[in-house]
Amino acid sequence: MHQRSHQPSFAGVSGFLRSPLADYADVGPGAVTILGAPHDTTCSSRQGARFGPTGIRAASQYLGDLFRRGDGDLVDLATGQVFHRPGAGMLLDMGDLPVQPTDVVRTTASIREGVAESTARGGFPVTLGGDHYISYPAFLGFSDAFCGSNRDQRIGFIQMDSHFDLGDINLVWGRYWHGSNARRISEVDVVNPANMVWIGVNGVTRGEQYEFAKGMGLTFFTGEDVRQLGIVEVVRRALEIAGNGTEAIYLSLDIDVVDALFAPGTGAVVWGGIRPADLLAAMDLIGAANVRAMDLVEVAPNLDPTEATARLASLAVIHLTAPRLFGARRP
Amino acid sequence: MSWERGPLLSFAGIATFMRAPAVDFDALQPGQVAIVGAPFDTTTAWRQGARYAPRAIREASLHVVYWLDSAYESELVDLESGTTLQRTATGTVVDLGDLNVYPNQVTRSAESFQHGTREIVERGAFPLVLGGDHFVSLPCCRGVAEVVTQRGGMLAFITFGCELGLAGEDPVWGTDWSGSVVRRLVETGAVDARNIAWVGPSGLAPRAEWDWIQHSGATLLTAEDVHRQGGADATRHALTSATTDCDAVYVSLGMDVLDSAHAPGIGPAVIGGLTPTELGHAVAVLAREPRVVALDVVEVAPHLDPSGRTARLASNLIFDFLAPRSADLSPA
Repeated sequence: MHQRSHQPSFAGVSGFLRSPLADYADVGPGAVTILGAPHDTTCSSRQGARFGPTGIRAASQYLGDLFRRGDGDLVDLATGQVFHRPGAGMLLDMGDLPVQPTDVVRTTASIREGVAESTARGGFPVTLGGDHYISYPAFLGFSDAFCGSNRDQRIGFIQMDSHFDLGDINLVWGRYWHGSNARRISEVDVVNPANMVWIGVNGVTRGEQYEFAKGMGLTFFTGEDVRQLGIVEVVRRALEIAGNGTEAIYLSLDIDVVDALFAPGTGAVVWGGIRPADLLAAMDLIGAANVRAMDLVEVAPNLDPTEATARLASLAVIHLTAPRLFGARRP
Repeated sequence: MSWERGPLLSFAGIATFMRAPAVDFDALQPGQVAIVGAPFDTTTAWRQGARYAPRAIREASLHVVYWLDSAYESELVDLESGTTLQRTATGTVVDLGDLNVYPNQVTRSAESFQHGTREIVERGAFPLVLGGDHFVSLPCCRGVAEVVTQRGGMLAFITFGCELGLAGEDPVWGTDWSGSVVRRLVETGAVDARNIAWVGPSGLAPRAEWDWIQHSGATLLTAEDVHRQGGADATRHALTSATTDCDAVYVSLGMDVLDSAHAPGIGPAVIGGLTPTELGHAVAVLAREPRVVALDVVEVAPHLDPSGRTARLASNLIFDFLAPRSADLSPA
């Protein structure tokens, strides 16, 4: 019989970071669960985020391959941070949730259910979009399972993004699209707008959204704030605000928070974005806090033949989940 | 004294199709050809991008227009046929811009396309629709069928493309999408099954769809048939078989009828498809068929083709189609 040996990064069938393909029954407490949500019908800019989950999985294979070499530990040369190979059952790839591209309502229900199921079993859901709209159903699923019937609990919310996504009803897109996801989340009963923070917004926004952000008592740090204050200080303040009186923090990461110079594989084109090193530093800091779920959206691999965007996205997930996944410790 | 415009180079100026005047519906005159975009690709099952086609095809059309505008006496001669093309710019061709589109609302977009196409025909003009994925043919053909039926006529549907469009209700896409165009046209009563003809499908089809064709009275000419018979004869065959009792024909030109080698800027990857020459011969036949009352050109996804030749080919085929029927581009 053909004996399988270790396969190089470009070979083999496997999930995110060489993780096994799993079912909900496999999910135990503390497991990081990868859930694809390849939906980009509600994207008003350039499409391709439907290929995001596949692209991010593929881009993560080279690191998964690195883990099998040597003794299974990886050391970050810049920080001295040590990453251990994930233990069995700690990283599970649930594959992609069912989507119906022409039916936003059914797709919403499907994403909500999948994330809720994973959360209810003790998993840490990492939802890979898809355009940013999927953040709303992913948040709903997380809050359904995390809060259950105890609607007095509060969930803090951090969105790293070049945009607010606080639009309400749009003449073309209606109520549910990738410009309204954060607005819809702000309306969920377990969310207090005072616990919502944006990091990295830049460029221009509609007056309506700006006034809403100001009026609702949301906090936002612009790309320029990150440059002036430094990412460490911005994230420290953000965590304080999102963590104040909340039981958990939900992170929504839009890859377009990173400048288009570094991450061209996304629908929007942004020139006031943050740098990749700042993104990864933010992931380290937020990952060490009380974050219980994340989504990562707007990666459109078809727009970046260098694949750098998908690689950066996979690294962001790895850094954010490092304390859970790799027992990552600072030197 | 006002500044005088010279001929614009292909990369200059505002891109309407063939630099036709940009007009609104209320300015449409009977006998005009109305270029209109339907930039909708939400119902694409694989690689999207056809939403960018109307703009790309408009831009690609400027190349030949520049030749015509800058040529002495505005004449060009087709080296193959010896036909002289004249650019008279009489205003027969007008550009209506794009129809309203709602990417996350299939039904609302379809209504927009159906109403827009119907109004063009009601005003006595010829709708030349730039898609969009192949789904847009469904509402556009229905819009045309409404008018033809009202006038007591019958409409035939001749469709070029790599797929049959015979999918039933799909668990992912529902009933109305790019894979169900022909089935829905028949189910909604817009076109009788006997008045359907495909030119150019290739590859595999589900057994149920194959059986449907055998019992429907529709006409299927595969890509292989076109390779054997040639584009002109295959198209004549389609017209003869499918247009009995019809006084009007809607032609849907899915650019995915072409082989991907010739047209890389299409969503599907087509192996064994038509050549541009075969399709050109088909278009030449359609251009001289007076019963053709509407044409759509769909499935061009320009960003998948950095060479730009797929959009160029689409615009060239539209030129070939217009030449015999538009005073703007009359054979001298």
